[in-house]
Amino acid sequence: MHIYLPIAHHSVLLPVVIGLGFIVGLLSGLFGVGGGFLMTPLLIMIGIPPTVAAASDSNQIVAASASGTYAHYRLGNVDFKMGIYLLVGGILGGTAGVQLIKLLRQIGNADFLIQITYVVMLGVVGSYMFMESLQNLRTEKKRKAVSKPKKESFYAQLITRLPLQTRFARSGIVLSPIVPLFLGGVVGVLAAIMGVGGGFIMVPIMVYLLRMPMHVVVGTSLFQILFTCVNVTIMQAYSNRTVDFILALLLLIGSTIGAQLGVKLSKRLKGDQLKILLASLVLIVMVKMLADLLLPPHFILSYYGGD
Amino acid sequence: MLKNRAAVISATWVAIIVFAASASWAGSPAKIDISPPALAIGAFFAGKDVKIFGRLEPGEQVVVEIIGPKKNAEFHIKQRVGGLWMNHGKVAFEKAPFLYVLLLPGTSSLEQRLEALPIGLKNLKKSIRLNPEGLDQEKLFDQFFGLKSEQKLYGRRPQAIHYRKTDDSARIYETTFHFPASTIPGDYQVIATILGGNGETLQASRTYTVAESGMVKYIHMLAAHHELAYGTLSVIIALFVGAVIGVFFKQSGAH
Repeated sequence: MHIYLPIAHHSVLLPVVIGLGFIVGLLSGLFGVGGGFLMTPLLIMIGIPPTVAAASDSNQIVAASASGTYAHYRLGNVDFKMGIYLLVGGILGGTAGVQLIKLLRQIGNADFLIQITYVVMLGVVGSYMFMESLQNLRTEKKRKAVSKPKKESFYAQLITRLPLQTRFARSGIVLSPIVPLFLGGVVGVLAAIMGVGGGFIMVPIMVYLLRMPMHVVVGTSLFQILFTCVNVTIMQAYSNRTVDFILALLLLIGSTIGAQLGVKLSKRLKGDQLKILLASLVLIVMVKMLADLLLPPHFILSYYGGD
Repeated sequence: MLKNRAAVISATWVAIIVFAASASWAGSPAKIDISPPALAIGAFFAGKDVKIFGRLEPGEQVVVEIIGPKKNAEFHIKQRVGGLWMNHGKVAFEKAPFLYVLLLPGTSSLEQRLEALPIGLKNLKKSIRLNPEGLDQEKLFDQFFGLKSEQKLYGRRPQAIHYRKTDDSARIYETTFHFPASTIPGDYQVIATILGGNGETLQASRTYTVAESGMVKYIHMLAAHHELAYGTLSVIIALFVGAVIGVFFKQSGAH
């Protein structure tokens, strides 16, 4: 059965779009990522214009992340206090990032810098997360038997010396709000430059730099993504008229169900198992991007805006 | 008396024959006709076959062009920089038709005559302007046509036109074109170029309207004219669906 998308001006097969939504929703519930970095290329592959794909995906992430946040909230996995600090930092960073990208484009070779940053960052984050989780899984028993106190790193010493130390009860950590505000800002800048929601950058930052437990990371990340995507959807609809509501509705039917199943599945997996799966996903995306950079394209033209 | 009656009967027969002939002429297709007469894009539109047909005199051949609404098509240009392929500059193909298809009969003898006519992709290049100027036009047009052909929006379809004879020794040409699922609304020009047996050419054209209808039209209008309301409504519905499914799973999980 086909459905015509009024803004994308394209007809799509109903089970295909709902199925895509389901797969990405499953990842969203499982890892706390919005899935935009995966969904947008998949939508382009089935013939949706790039700008419509990105904007409509934001709209469907609103539903998936609302559904996922609610499910994680019931499990006690959302640190609202931390989420709000990260969100404020993200909005400020995103605004600065938009200005920065304008400046980079004026200087020239901005795209080069963006793509290289993307590949390097995905590679570093993915590899580190993968290796660390793998090591943890292998040495879990040994660590239980011989638990030596670790020497504090420079970063750990630095964040404990910052002013306004506050307790984040849900995450079980004491931290200055400056840290999540700053890190949220960094993710906001990167997300604006790369044109993605930033979930797959935010999750490793929460795990490694904010030292939050993995299950709280997923719920809090979804909470933050929800607000980011509400803002993006309204802005895209208002400024560019690229939100295809019918496309978003079909995707979100699949994604909300997928997100719920993802949350249920995440309960059955250990933190390190979740991390290793997310790391694999990040590395796959990195390899795909690297291949696009190295191999000659089929066409040297790619659509800019519109169709 | 008998003579008069015979004259009346003859006149009546003549009138019937003339009427029948004229009725038959009026009912026969013109040089170009399209069925259905317009295309509506509704909620379940998945592309549509459209039949183009017309009447030809003995010895005539025909080719048909379908030209979509003209719009600017903007692209990134990928180049190899430091061993890596990346977007490096932009190009706009100004006033490029969204769709261009040339439908041909199976006759290979037409090729020479077609070369001399202002039709086909070669001729289309002349009506499209590249912005900025000074780029490698030949290469970019090849890429543009290749990309559009892959999307089935540009192309040349040999053996797409078929002929059949009518009772009065004339011929009817027929071709079916599938408007793809990615068809956009607007006025499409359908042009039949008729090639006479003595080297003469004649063109007949029709404007074929493709328009949105029903829910598709309503949503498009809302998105185009009430952007903020449309964006807000999209978010509210997404939140509502997310919440409903969340509650549903909570209930189903409780059982």
